[in-house]
Amino acid sequence: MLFFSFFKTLESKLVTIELKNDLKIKGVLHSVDQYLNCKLQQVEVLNAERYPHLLAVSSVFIRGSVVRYVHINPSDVNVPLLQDASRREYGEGRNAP
Amino acid sequence: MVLFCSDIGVAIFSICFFSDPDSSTALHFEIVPYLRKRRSTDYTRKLSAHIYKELNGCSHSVLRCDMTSRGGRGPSGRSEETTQSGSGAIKLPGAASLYEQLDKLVLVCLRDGRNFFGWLRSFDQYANLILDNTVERLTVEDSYADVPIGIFVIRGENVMLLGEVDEERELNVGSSMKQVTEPEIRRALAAIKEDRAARRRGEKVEWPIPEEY
Repeated sequence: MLFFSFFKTLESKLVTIELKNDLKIKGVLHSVDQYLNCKLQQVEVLNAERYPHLLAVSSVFIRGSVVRYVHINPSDVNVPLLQDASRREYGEGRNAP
Repeated sequence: MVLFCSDIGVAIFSICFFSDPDSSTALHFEIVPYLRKRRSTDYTRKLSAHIYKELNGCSHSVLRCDMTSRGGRGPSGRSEETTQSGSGAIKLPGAASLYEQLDKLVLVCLRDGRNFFGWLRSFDQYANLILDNTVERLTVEDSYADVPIGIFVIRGENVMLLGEVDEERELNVGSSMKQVTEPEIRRALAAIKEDRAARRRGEKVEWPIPEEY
């Protein structure tokens, strides 16, 4: 759930998603769901010479299961907050019945 | 047909489609709860959405969504007005947001590298898709061929990416790439395959010679 909430804070930010087939797609994160399926808008394919058919695409839906990396601008991430949140989540998990 | 609709992060509904025989433009959909809300078991909501099929362009837009709750917390009616990809539309997360692409030309890339162009007719929470008037695009270098394959149901796990195709830009792509006929592209693909096989058998040397030699 932590990563889902984290990705929700990245909505409307510029991200680059790298897929398991090395395709890199840069775009504005429109929305994300519990499986981390992502939807990007204002899409730009970074290695378009290998994927020419993607030139005509304006917005993409990417299934979470094919994502390898999500590149994020460091200024969009509040690291101390994220650390706090993961500690809290871990603590809750340990104390859970 | 199943459409996926989320009650703002609470429950997932699948929609049974009943088309209204009286009207050619309006379709009445009954929405049945797919998952009940975990917090209260008697929380069952019945939704009915009136989805109007616009005559021009055959696009669906949810114009009205009435929600009534049975039992539990008493009736809570809600009316929302949304149009697809409009600025005032509710933003559904993830797979549900594919409703914005309904009846639009989309490109679907599968995990095995195949590419399909088609009109998105239906989808669900797993991103299972139904494409209409589908063509498979076969590409070899800068030439391509479109092979029509009709209606296509794709199991969600194979979907890598679904992109909405800007039809104007798609036409420009046609100018940078050369369209050829299906037999030609099949021959080119077979030649590539044969070439690779020959290299693997060692009958043919790769050129330029790889650096490790």
